[in-house]
Amino acid sequence: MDYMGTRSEKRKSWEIQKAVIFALFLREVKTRFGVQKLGYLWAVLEPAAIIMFFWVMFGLRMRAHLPGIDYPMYLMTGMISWNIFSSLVMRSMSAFEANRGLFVYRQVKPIDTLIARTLVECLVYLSVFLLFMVAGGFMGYDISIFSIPFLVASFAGVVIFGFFFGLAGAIASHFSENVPKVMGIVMRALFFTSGIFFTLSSVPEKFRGFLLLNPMLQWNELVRAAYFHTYSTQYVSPSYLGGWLLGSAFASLWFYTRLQQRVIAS
Amino acid sequence: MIRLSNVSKYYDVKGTRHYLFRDVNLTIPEGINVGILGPNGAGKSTLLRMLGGIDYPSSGTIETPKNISWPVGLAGGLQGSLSGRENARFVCRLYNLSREEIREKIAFIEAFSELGRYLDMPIKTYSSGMGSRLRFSMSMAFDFDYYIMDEVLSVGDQFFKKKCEEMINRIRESRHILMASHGLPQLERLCDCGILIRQGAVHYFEDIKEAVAVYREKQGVEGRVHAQTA
Repeated sequence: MDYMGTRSEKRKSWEIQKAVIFALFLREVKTRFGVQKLGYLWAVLEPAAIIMFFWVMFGLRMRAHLPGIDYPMYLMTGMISWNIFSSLVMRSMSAFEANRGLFVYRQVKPIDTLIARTLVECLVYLSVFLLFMVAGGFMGYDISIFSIPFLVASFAGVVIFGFFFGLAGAIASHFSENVPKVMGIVMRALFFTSGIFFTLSSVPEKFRGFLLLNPMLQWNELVRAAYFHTYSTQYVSPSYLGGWLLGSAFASLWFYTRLQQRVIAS
Repeated sequence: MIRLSNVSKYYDVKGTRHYLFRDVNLTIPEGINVGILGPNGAGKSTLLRMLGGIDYPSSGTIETPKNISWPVGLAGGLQGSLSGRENARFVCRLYNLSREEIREKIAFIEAFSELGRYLDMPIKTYSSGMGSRLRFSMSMAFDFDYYIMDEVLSVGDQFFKKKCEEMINRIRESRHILMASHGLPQLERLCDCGILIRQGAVHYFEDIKEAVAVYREKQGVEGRVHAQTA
């Protein structure tokens, strides 16, 4: 079947997809941030509030825990990395259903709505991250970053992993309403074992291997190693993370390309 | 030209295949307005959606070099918290229009919809009639080769309805429409050829009047049948 008709055929299909993603991105930014006064502020403060809560709960007390690392910053990096992942995954669950009306425009593909959302999340958490850098600076913590390129790459890994994991979840939940519920439980289990609050070296050695099965724990370790001068990547297995990344990408895209038409037509 | 080759569409209902269309071969020639008729549930909307590329045949192909609209008046995915203008701009962006083109489209929508200051209010505050005005105007603002119309003229007040029909009249001369309707006089007025869907069979008539006559008689389809059906 043809893609868009003669006039548009000349435009590359990537051009079309780019336009669609950009339109969706702008709209999401506008609806999520722009409607109320101070909308932009709330968009950042809302995810920041939960981190702030844990900061106050644990951060101020457990200081002399890690050599050369201010615990609140440790907490912040883990929370942001986790929140990016979890909000990408959990928001994807309802994405196809919520955007169904958009599929009357034939150039809008379900995956475009996920890509646009992912970009919005990146924007939100970049702002949250900067906010905490500033806040940390004011509190007198050491906010210097070990390697910015390394940090960007680590967060990018989290984003891409979250995207494909979310894509798989979106497809699965389109066909079974049990998936979001199961995913909610899985995410909670992952949350407590992702090393957001604790360091892996503080865990008894016999449990470490088990915990390291959680890919998000390893991503968090990677983010910390990129952020803190004194943190090492000793527990991170690049092949394990790469396996998850490629595995989720391959599996989700494989199912997506086969089921896209059914998602659109339903 | 729109060509359907061996198009079948079925749904699995409790393990058995329920066919809507079976091996339909049909060529809709260039430059004519097409009316689609048939009883409720025959598959008029599904056929329109497949022609518009937002539903897919279970097997077979539909080919056309033409640019086909979304179902007129059914602009989906509009955001209630955004204004009519912002929603219209969003749809323009989906079609990769330039800044200048977007300004043109918005100006058209503003004039045609007659929404006045409501165009800048969140569309969740619109009455259903105002929503229809916005959606219809948005469809008309874009240049398509074919406009898909699925019972489109059953919305809005008398005044706006008349305006819509005038607009459609203008469109059917330069560009063309693919229309499903139960309003037989309206089909006769606006369309040139007819597609009658009955019991899984698709019959093509060069003259819409003939299609309507056959449909009215509710008897076996005879005459110039161009579609081959299994």
